[in-house]
Amino acid sequence: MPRTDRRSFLLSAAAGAALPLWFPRVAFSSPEAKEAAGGDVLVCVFQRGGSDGLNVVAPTGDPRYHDLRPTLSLDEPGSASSSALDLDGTFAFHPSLAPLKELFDDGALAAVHAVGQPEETRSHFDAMDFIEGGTPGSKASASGWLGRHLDTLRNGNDSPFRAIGMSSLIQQSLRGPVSALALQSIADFHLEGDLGSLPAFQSTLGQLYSGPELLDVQGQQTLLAIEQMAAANPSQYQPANGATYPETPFGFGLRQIAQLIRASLGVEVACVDIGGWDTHEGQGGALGVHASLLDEMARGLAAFHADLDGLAQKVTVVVLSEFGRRAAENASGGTDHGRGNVLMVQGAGVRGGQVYGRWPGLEDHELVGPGDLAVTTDYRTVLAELLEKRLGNAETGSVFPDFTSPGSLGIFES
Amino acid sequence: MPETLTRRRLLIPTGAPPPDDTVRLVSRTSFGPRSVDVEAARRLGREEWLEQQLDYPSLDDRDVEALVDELASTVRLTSPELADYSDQREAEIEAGGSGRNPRQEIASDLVAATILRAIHSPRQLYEVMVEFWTNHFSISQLDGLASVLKTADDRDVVRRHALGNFRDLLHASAKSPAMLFYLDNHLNISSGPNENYARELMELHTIGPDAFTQQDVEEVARCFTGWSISGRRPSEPFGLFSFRAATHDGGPRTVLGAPIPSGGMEQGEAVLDRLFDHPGTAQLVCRKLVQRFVSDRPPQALVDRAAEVFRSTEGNIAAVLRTILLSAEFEASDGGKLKRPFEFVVSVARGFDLPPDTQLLSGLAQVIAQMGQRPFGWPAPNGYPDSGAAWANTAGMLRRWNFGLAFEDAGRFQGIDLAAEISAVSPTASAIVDHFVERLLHRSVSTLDRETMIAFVRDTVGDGPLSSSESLEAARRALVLVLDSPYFHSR
Repeated sequence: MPRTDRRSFLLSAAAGAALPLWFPRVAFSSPEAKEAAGGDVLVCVFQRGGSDGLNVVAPTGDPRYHDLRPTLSLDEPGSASSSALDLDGTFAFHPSLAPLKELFDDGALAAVHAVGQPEETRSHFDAMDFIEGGTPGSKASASGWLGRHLDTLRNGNDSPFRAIGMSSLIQQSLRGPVSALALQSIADFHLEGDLGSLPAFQSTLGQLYSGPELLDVQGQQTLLAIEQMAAANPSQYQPANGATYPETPFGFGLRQIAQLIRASLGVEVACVDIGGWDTHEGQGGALGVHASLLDEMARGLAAFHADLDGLAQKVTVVVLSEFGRRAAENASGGTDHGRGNVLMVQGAGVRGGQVYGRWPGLEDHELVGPGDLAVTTDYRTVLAELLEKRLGNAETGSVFPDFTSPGSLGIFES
Repeated sequence: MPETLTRRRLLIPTGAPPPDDTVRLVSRTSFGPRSVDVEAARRLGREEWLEQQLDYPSLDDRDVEALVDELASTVRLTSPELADYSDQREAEIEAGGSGRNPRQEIASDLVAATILRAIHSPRQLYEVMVEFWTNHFSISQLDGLASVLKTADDRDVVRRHALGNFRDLLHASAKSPAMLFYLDNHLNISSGPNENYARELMELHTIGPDAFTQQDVEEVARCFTGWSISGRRPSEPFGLFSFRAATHDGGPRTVLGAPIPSGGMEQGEAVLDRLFDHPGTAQLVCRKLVQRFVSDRPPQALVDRAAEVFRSTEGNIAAVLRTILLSAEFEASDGGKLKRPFEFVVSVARGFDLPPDTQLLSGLAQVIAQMGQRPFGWPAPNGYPDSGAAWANTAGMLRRWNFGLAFEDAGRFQGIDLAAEISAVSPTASAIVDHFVERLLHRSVSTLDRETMIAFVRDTVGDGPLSSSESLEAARRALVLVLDSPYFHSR
């Protein structure tokens, strides 16, 4: 088990307390070793709050779309800047996704519509538990789907940067025996002050945090990351190809993920969130609150793609949310919690330029529950294909227990 | 499955004797024990000390409230007064006047008052409960007008009922303009119901996610149509609770399998009472309380006993706390609770008994926000997580260590006089380490950890006897190490 290896490694390192604790580990984890990790880097973007997928990849070709959304629906694709951007005659991007349209047209980005998890819940927190746990119906899962992916992928990568959560709190999908690195700012990832620069101080911290408890493990990983970050000197980072990230926590998060990937520190998975999608009121259509969020998201994803151009065959991004929203707009100019949603993938190995999935339709008898888009593709079908084809995981049955894929959609190349 | 990770205790190092019963109680029921608190609790005995904390009006908080008046005066204003103040200030700024955006000022005054009270109030358990209910009925100040309305919610809902009765608290929250705004009930009208409040009321505030259906959400939403906020017409003051009969649905409903007769505002009130009486509410509230005070894995037997008290006392919060805090499970729970960022930062200020100072206050607020726990800043209605597993991570570890390191130059903090601090301590590395261990941790550390700390201090200053400048250097090192050690993060 990698868990045991990692644990015993840390413990044995701690036991040899006569040596400065962090020192031999730096030598042990040389950057060269990291490139051997194998599969793609996976970046998981989570839209917190339940993104209104019908206003992201809009079903402009569905006869019911405009009736259900008298004030929110987008103008038919056309020349106006407020028009939706046609994808395939049936679906169209929200105009704020203009920066991603080129990626779609180039085949580097795909969407899957009417995606979700099988449990009928309209609770943010249950739905996030189910999606991120990878165990719809069970909130008892102590680990997340990415955590189990890393645990089952025994590739010998000991880097403290193997899994990254760009946040002050680790995303639930990363929970598991491989401790993820919570990171807010690369530039600030060092100890500050006179004592902080003393090797003896860091060595002493290493001894005080050498036990088996949760905080000890975090302490050890922090010390290791401080050393390796300093050695890689990523503070001089300039995004490539003129990529300009939005100046938001999301944009900053993506920029730093790109930076860590370029520094070859052994990153395999990284999570970053973008919040504010719970648009019960005043959601807006082509313009407004939701449009601004989409603008931030699209500019961030496009910048990330441009920045990592040279690594185009190595980095795959998936964008998802806990659920979609009600097909009909509500009286407050917003949308309530719904079911089926759109999911997007971009980057390495994506067979892009298509909207995948079976469209269930928006007629009354086609909607589910209080009037929601049905779920026709289990989100695990997409993620399992991604893990198998791009990340070399042959044990997706352990990542998604009690789930059998009905067959891959063919979104990814092997 | 990685059960081992989550089943792991958080932070009691092997070989360390546990804190004594008094320190445990003071530590969990406060934002960090000061030496004077521990001494007072020893003098009174644990039960008596707890009774004193529960009878919070008997504890004189005039000093800290005077500070709040001085440093965060807008927390005293009603919502209509705040709206007027905000309009007036905005007009002044627009006309070229200087000063902060008034909404930001109002929001940050409440944050400042919260931190001031957490550090300086003698009503520590009360302030801990204020923090608890603030998260239970979470309202983000970052959401539009909630920046203004949360001030009245904090004062008139949370602080008013924090150690009172849960039924009263629930009713007050339902009529709180900040809540009506934050969860969109002000938009919930008969011609177009909005489900947001109805769902979170059941899922988060009362019976929990598995006890109701989508049908119940829609029915409850109908019951709360017309519960709104005053100020739609210029003749009305802004920001008070207002029931608008014209937009209330009023038809007969079925909630949780039982009828709610047709009617006006009493329909929503009947829903609140029905939810209060539902056994799921006692379980959910008591489980969260046990998780707050005892363990991230709440022992079910204790939750059940607390829930029984909750029911038999009709929601008496103090009675429930007494059951939890004097339980055997509480006494056997060492190492189970990690200080979250707010608790960690405030406990440092309390540990050093730092005097109030505006610069320090804004610095502390900033550090807490950087660590991810800005008061009233959680963006979702479920409140900040209350488990060590959620907060123990590398980003937090680094910021905690660096916050400890900021005290390496302790002399720049007004109120810390290291020379005076160690004047009565014998001038050796070990005595100085022991002094800060006792002063800041109120417990012993393991023999090995003590030796590690002493070795680090000796590294620069030698064995002693130390000169006065060497003693100061030793003190600097010792106090940073104690703050940065695993022990200090335990609650």
